[in-house]
Amino acid sequence: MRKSILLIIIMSCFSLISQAITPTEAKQLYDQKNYTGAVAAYEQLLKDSTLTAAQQAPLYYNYASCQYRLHNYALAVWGYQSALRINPSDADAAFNLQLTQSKLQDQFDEPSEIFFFSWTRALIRHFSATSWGITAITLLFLMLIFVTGFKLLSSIPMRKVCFASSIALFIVSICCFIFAYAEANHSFAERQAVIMQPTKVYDAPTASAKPLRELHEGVLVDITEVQSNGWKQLLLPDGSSCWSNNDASLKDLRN
Amino acid sequence: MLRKILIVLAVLLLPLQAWSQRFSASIEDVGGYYRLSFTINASGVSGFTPPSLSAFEILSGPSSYSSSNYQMINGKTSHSESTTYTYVLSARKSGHVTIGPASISVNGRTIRSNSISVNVQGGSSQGGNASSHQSNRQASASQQASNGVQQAGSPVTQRDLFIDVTPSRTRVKEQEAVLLTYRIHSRVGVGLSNTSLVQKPDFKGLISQEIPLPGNQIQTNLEHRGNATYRTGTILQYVVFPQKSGNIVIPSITFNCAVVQQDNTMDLADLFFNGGGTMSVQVNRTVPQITLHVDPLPSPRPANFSGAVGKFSISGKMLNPTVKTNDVATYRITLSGLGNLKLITAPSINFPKDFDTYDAKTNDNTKVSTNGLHGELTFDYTFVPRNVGDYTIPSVSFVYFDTATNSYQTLHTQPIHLHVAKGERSNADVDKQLALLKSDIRPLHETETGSIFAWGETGFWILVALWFIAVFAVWYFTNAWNLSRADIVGRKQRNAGKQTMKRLRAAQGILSGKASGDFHAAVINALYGFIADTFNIGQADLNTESIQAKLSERGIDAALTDRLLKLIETCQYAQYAPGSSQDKQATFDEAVSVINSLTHELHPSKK
Repeated sequence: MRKSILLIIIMSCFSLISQAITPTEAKQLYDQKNYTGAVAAYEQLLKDSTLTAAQQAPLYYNYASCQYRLHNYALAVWGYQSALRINPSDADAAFNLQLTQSKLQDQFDEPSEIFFFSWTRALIRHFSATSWGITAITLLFLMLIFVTGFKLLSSIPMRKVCFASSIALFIVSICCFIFAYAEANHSFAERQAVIMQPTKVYDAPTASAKPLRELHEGVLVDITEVQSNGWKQLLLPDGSSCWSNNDASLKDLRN
Repeated sequence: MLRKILIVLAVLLLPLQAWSQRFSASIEDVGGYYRLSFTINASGVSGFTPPSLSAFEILSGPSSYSSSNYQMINGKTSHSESTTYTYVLSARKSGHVTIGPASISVNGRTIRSNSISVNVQGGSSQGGNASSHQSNRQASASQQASNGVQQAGSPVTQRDLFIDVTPSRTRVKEQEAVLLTYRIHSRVGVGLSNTSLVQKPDFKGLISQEIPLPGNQIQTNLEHRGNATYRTGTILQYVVFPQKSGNIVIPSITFNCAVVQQDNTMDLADLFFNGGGTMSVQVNRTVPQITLHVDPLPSPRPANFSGAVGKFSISGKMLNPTVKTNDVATYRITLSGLGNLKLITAPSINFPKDFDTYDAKTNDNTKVSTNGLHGELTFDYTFVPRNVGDYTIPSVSFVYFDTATNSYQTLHTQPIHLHVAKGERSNADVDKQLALLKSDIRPLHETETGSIFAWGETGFWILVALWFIAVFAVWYFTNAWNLSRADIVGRKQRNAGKQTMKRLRAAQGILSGKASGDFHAAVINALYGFIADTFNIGQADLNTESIQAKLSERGIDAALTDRLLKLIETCQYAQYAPGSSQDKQATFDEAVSVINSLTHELHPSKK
């Protein structure tokens, strides 16, 4: 009797340990082509609220790759875009997203020009918060070299150049800090979502609106406006706008 | 209310109390098995000795169960305890069996139970026909009391544990699926904990596909064989497809089995760390080889026979509803059914000459099951129409051997008519899309532990703090550098007194005879050195006029200037007309006095 109680205690200890899945185990599942298991593992890993954004990015990427293997292209788009929002310079995620999108039913032409968001916003979104932050610090240290030059050089024109450079570098660096902060807090991030099931979209946010087209799973849209009656304005990848009131078919990007 | 319930309980429990210290045996039939229990209504029992149970096979037991009752009746508390020993038995033979009394000692006194007779139904008839070569071969294997889990050190015989293989059929057609089922049989009491294949079998002349066990677990059932009870479960299943006709040998394979045995010699620490007084014994079990008789497919084979054997259906469709020039279009053929799906290659299609065609991509959505492979294969044919026009994708025929009708069958897809409209895409666009279609996603990313220099992390703020430290350092050191460079003169002036003292001491040394040299020259050297350092002029530029000019510039008293000049003059003169030692002493004192006065006048703060 005592033995069996002991056994139960020992076994429950083991089961507790085995519940915490590690990224290595998740990758092993993927390597063993157990994509369903790997998806579940990555979902569980992503639930960890102590993760920093930089740690989440590869998990989103790997999660998306598993979903791609399972032909769940909508969820793959969702995962790759989540990773890209954290680390916009991730070339692998960008490529895989493009590849996934090429498999979707709805194909969109690129918008002829980027008219819907300002160039600053595009610039900020192009690098991760960490990239901006490290750039800012590097510039600050560079600035110190010019400050030293300004203080030590005797030639007046050289000192003028050093002074002007220091001031310029300082201003640029402060801008980088602001960008990093903005990027980290998603101040400029569009609210985005992925269509999860076929959805009819309309030309106006009213019940009498004319249906424009049907969107299929995997389309990545920006949510540009949300009305109190539940209608959402969606910006499609080709730069056109439409309205939808089918909330269930949209899976918002978390970050 | 509560009291009433208590009274009712007490009345119900009263008989128990009355039978105090009674040791009773009972047996009941539970679906082919028998539960034998011995109950003693006493506390402090020990030394339970069961009767001989040779007519039965003990499936489990004895397991003991103790219970205590506390009763409170009108404020009086009474206590009773009972212990029950239970066996689960299976009868070896049908018939009338008498179970003798068991004995137990209660507080040192031995009590015997009643003996009971029962008509039992032997269980051997259930599995008696399921004969197995292993169990017969080892008929003389040691017959051990399978009392609970085996004791450590007892041998695990072929009779206790064996594995066999059953093919779903032994006579098949070429390419027809055969299911091989490997089942393990372990006698009740053999604590089988794990089995693993020693080596993956090498199926020659067969294509094999393993069927995963449901839930990756071995499900066991009880089964009677001879006069023993076994737990039986499927441990491995393969679907194999013979690739040639004739006799094909399924090779013998070996499993490694871990058997858990009870070890009563372990101490408490071992019990804890090794999992409760058990030890694991490794034994190997070999499954003998079997032979399949494979018949060839009937001749003559059709010329375009695809090699598929089973039951199939085929369909073809365009994935793009409309096609324009320079569009990447996909034509998909779906082949679904049951059979050797894995071996089927994409049928060839004669696309119109104007199309650029690419290799078909096969998607395998098949599942392996006990009937073979079922599901569907899709073949995606990618092509790019280059010119506007009307085209037809011809019908595709697929010839297979139908195992149900035992004949060759031909399937056709519907031909598809296409109208290719003018598209806007350039050749470069198409090439880009084709490249994308052919490529696969990039490999998984390593999950990072997170850079400590990431935005918002400690490392990042340390870098910022480092910068602030660097700012202060740069500020401080550049200032200090500039200061020291600007003050070379000041440094000379500060050192002037010290240098002069050194020179005067040299002069004093000559005066007192401790050193040799020209006393007057030393004094002049001291005076000139002092003036040169203090007023930052070269010794070469020193003359009466320049000294006078510098001193008056600094507002030095004219009398003091005169004294200095006179002293210099005296010394210069004395160099060539040596005087007495008293004169020398006076000259030295005068030099010290003049330098002191000058120092006082130049640095009034320094006393």
